[in-house]
Amino acid sequence: MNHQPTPDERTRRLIAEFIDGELSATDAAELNQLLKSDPQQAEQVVDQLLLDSLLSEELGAESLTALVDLVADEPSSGVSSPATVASTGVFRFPRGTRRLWQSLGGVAVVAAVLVAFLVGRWENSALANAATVVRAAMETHAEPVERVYIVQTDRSATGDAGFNSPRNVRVATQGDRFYVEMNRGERRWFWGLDADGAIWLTLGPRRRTTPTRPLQQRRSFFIRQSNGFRNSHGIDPP
Amino acid sequence: VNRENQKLVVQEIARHQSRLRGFARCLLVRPADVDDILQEINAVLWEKADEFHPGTDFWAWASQIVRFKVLNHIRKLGRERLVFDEAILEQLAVIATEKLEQLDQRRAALDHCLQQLPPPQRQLIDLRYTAGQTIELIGESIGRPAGSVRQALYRIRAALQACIERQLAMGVEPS
Repeated sequence: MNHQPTPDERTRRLIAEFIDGELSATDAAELNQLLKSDPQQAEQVVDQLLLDSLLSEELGAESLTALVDLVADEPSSGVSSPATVASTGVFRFPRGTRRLWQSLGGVAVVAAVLVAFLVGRWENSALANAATVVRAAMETHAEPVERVYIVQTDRSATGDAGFNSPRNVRVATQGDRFYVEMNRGERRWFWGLDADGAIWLTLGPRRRTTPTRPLQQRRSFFIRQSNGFRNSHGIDPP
Repeated sequence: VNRENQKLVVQEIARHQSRLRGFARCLLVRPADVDDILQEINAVLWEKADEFHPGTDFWAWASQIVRFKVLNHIRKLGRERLVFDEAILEQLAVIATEKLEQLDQRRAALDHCLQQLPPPQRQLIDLRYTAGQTIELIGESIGRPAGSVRQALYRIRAALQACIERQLAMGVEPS
């Protein structure tokens, strides 16, 4: 016997299709009709869409929202300045960005070791201890040279083989300044730290934000219309 | 232009990005359009900064403007793809505005509920949201038919939703 879905169940299914980008025009018309005939279902629609929005934010790409929150955060929140990030690596970003920095932190360590190795500062790998490696990496990074790291992450949530979720990140550094380019599928973001210790980031293809002053005093920033900013990025000149 | 007011509003805009995005989503704005509409929302709130009275509820003020803006945006798109009646969208807007007041509690509840997911279910959710893969691609990745993936995701989301409601009923605190 075929199971005939209730209107409530059918609405849930159609919203799920919408969420997954699979809702056809016919299905959309049906959903519209279902919602019209039973307005009570609007609440569960909102619940489903809110869940999807939160999942995208919590698990999706590095959250720009979190970075914007950081920029606008009150100093009393206990967040250190980003300058501290670059110099000591001891820094607590809000939720989404913290995840990014945890990833990037690991990347940075690997990159630092690799750089130290490549420039020959790691004289004897068999004898090198952690302090030597870190010192060598710090010396290397103190040089006025711009470095670009291309990082591809193949993430496995369970450790099982059989699937990959590639995410490409490009990190350019020069001293304490940096910019990060993040690519995931069709989506692309840029953000960075300029010479004054101010974080800038793109807010979509046509706009970027910049703090009005260094983040040590971050209380405000302004949104600057920047036509033609699509995919452009960089470190402000000193 | 009152510069102090503008600074305050920009700060509040930044603080409410999650809510603003969630609001657009709840009005059935497609994921591909959300970033564009969010830009427009940010810009219009900024332009109206002088109309905000410091010390009053920013979300109460912003949600009215945003509601108008999003519905207008949808109306414009409607020439090509609007299928939902305006009365329905208005109703969704009212419910979303109310539910978004509890967004931080919902987020905390979701964090808790995600931790309760068995690894295979968490893997599917990660593939969908972290990797941003389509149902078909996920099916190919894990060697299961798309229909099975679709069904599994449907059940996982339903389970997460139920878990969130339980957490909210227990009075979960924002993280």
